[in-house]
Amino acid sequence: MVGEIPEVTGFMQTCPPFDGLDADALAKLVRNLSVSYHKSGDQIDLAGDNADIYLIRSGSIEIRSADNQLVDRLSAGDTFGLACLPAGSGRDQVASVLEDCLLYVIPASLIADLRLADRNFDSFFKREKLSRSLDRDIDTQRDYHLGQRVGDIVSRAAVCAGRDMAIADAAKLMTRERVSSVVVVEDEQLVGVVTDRDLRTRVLAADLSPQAPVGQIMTPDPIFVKSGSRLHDAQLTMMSSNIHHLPVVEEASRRPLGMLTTNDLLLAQNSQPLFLIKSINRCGDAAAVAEVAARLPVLIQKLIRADASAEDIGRIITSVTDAMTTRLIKLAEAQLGPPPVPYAWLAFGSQGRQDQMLGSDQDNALLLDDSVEAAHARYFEQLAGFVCDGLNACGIRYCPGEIMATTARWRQPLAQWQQYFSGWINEPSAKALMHACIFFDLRHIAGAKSLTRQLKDFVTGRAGQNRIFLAGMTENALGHRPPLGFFKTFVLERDGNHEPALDLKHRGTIPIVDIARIYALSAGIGAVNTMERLRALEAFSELSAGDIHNLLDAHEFIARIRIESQGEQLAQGREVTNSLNPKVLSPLVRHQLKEAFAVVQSCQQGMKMGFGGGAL
Amino acid sequence: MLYKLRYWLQAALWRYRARTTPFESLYLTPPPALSRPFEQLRFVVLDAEMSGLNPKRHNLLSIGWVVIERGRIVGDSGRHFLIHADAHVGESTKIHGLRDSAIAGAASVARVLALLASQAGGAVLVFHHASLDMAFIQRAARQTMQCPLLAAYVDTMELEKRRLRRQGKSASLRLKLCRDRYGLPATAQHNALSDAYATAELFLAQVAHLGERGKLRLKDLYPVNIS
Repeated sequence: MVGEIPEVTGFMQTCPPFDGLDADALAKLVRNLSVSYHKSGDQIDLAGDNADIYLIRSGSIEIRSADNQLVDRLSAGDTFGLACLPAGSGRDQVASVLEDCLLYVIPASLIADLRLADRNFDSFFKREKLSRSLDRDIDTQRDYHLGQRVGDIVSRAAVCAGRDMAIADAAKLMTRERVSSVVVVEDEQLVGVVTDRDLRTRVLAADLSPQAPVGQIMTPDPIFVKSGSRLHDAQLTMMSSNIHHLPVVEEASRRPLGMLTTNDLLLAQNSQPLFLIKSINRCGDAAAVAEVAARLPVLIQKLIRADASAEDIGRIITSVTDAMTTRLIKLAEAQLGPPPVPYAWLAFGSQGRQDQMLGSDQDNALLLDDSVEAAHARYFEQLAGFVCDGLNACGIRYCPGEIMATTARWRQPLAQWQQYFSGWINEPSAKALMHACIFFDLRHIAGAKSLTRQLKDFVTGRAGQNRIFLAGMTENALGHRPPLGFFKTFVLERDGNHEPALDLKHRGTIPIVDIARIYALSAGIGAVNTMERLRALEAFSELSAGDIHNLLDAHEFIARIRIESQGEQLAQGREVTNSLNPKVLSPLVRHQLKEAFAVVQSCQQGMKMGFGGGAL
Repeated sequence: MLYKLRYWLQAALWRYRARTTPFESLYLTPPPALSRPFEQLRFVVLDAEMSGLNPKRHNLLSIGWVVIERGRIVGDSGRHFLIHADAHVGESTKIHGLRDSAIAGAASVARVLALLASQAGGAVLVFHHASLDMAFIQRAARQTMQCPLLAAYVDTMELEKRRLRRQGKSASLRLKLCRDRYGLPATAQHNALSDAYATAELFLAQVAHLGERGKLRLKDLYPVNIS
C-alpha cells in the first residue's frame, strides 16, 4: 500500500502557505516533492531555470544577491526559491547553506497550478500582490503614475521597419500609423530608430533621396528601456540623453514592444494627487467635495502599486483631507457669513501627524480668539457641524471618542485650551494622558495661524520639563507593545471576524509614534510628524542615531505593510482595517516584520529606562 | 572485484531456483558498478519491524521503504506494508504498537517481497543495521521464493561507524542519535515507513559529508555488500 510519509505531511501542515491547503492538494504536493540534504557551505543557485520552491525542514539558509549583498536569513518552516523573491529584487540570487539543511523541493509547475487554484496560496508568493489585482482597473483609465512600469503604458505594438525599407515608405508608414517614429528591426532585434526629426534633418535638409534605405538615416544602437523599468527611470533616461523617443523592448527577448514618447509621460502624470486637490478646491458644495473624495481610494491604490513610500502615501492622504477640510470651511463661511472673531481649525491625531491612512477617523477642534462672546457660540457650532458632517460624507468617519469641533468642549478660546494643556501636563491622570496622546499631535489647518502658533508655543517646552508627565506618557505608551513573543513569534489577536491577526496600527505604528512623541516632547521639538520628530531628534542625545534610523525604517516598513494590506482589502471590496493575518506574508516579509517589531521592543525598553523608571 | 565475484557466485548458485519467481529479474540484471556516480544511482531505503530479534523464532511484521533518485528522496515513493504473521505477535507489540488485529488485515510476505523485488532491480538497498533486517528478509525469501533476494546494499550504521572511527570517536549508533549528530529533526513516529524515511534522511546527510556530491561513487559508500 502507498504510505504517505507522515513526517513530511505533518511538517508541511504547519508551514504557510501550505497550512492553508486542503488535504487533497497537500497530498498531491507531498507525492510530488523530493527531499534533499545540503551541507553547510553548499550553494543552491536560484537563477535561471531552477524555479523550484524550497521549504526548509531543518537547518538555516542565507540568501545573497548577485553582488553578494545579504538579502535574508531563513530557517525551518521558511520557504525560498525564485517565486518567493520579492519582485524587483535581483533575480539571480544564491542561497548558501549556513547550517546543514534538509529541504523539501517542490516542483515549480505544481506551485504554479496551486497558485492558479488557490487565491490565498497565491498571495503568499506575491509581494506586490496589489499591483496585479489592479491591472484591470488601470487599463481602463488613461491616467498613470511615474512609478508604473513602462510596459504598462506602451499600449500599442511597435511600428517596425526593416533596415532596407525605403525612406519614403517609412514616412508613409509613419503617416498611416500616426506615429512620429519607427523602430528599425533586424531578426526581431532592435537595431535603430528613425524619427520625424531624422526625416527633416537627415533626408530633406541633407538632400538625400527618399528611395535610400532607412538604415542609412536611422540612429543606430539607440538607447532603449526594458518593459519592466519604472516610468520614472525612463523619464530620467530621456531627460539626461535629451531624446523624445525611447524604444521599449521585452525584458527577456529584447524584442521591440513599442515606443515611449514624452507625450506618454505627460499623459501618465494625470493622476497626481494635485489634480484631486485642485478639483476639491473647485467644488461648489459639500456633496461635490464628497464626490471627488470618493476618488481617493483609487488614487491610493495606484500609489501603492507605484511603490510610493508609506510616508508619502500618508502625507498625500493627509493633504487631500486638509484640502477637503479647508474647502468645507470655505463653503461653510460662504453659507454662514464671515466669522465674528478669528479662529483656527486644528487637526490632531493622524491628520495632525500627516500620517493618515485609509479608514482614519476625524480628530479636529476649533481654537477661538479670546475675544469670543457667548453670542458667537451658535456660529461656530454651525460651522463645526457643517465641516464635520462634510468630512464624514467624504469617508472620514466621525470620531468615536467625539474629539471633534462639534463637541462644545473642543470648541474653546485660546485661554481655555492653554488651561487644558496645563491640566494634562500637571495632573497626568489616565484620561489626561489619553488626551495628551491625541492633542499633542496638533497642526493648523485653516483660519488664523497666529492663534495656533500661540497655543503651540505655550505647549512646546512646557511638557518636556515635567518628568512626571513624561513618565506617565511612557507608562501609557508601554501599553502598546509590539506583537512579539519571547521566541520571536507573532502574538496574534482576534480581529473583527475572530480570525487571528496582527493589529498593525495599535501594535505596529502607534508604539513608534508614541516613542517619537515622548522623546520629541522631552527635547522640546515642535514637529508633530513622526518622521520629522525622529529626524529632529538626531540633534539630541536622547536616542542614538542607530535607534533613530532603525525606528524610521521600522515605521516605514510596518506602515507599508499596513497600507498594502489596506489596498488589498479595498481591491477586494472588504472593509478597510488595520488587521493582517501574517500567514499571507512571504517568509522574507514575515522575517523583516519581526525584525521591525524587535527594534520597537528594544526602543520601548530604552524609553522605559529613560523616562519611566524613577517616577513610577 | 570481490563485489562482482560475490554477485556472480550468488547468481550462479541460485539462478535456477529463482527462475519463474518474482526474484528472477534480480538474477538477470547485475547490480550497479562500484564506479557508478552517486547521482546516477537509485537507492531503496528499507526498514523492517520484527516480532523479536531472532530470525529463526520471530517474524517480519511490517516493511516500509522510500526511494532516492538523483540524490533526493522521491516524495511518492513511500510504501508501507503490514505482513501477515503465522505466530502471535507477542512481546514486540509494546515497541511497535502493532496489534494482532492490525496484522490480520495485512499482506502476505510473498507479495511484499515480490513488490520489493520490482523496486530493487538495478538499485542499491540501504538499511540502518542491515545485518538484522537482511537476516529476516532473506529467511522469508528462502521460505517463500526458495532463493535469496539478490541485491547490493549499504548500511548507514556502517557508514556512521566508519566516520566515527576516522574522527577517533565512539558514540551510539542508534538511528535517532546518528540523526541528532547531523542536526536532523526529531521524529515521533515509529513504524517501518517513518523509520525507513528517517534512515533515508540520515543517508543523504552522511553522503553530503562524505565529499563533493558530484564526485561521489558507489564505492565511496563502502562497505557495499551483495546479499
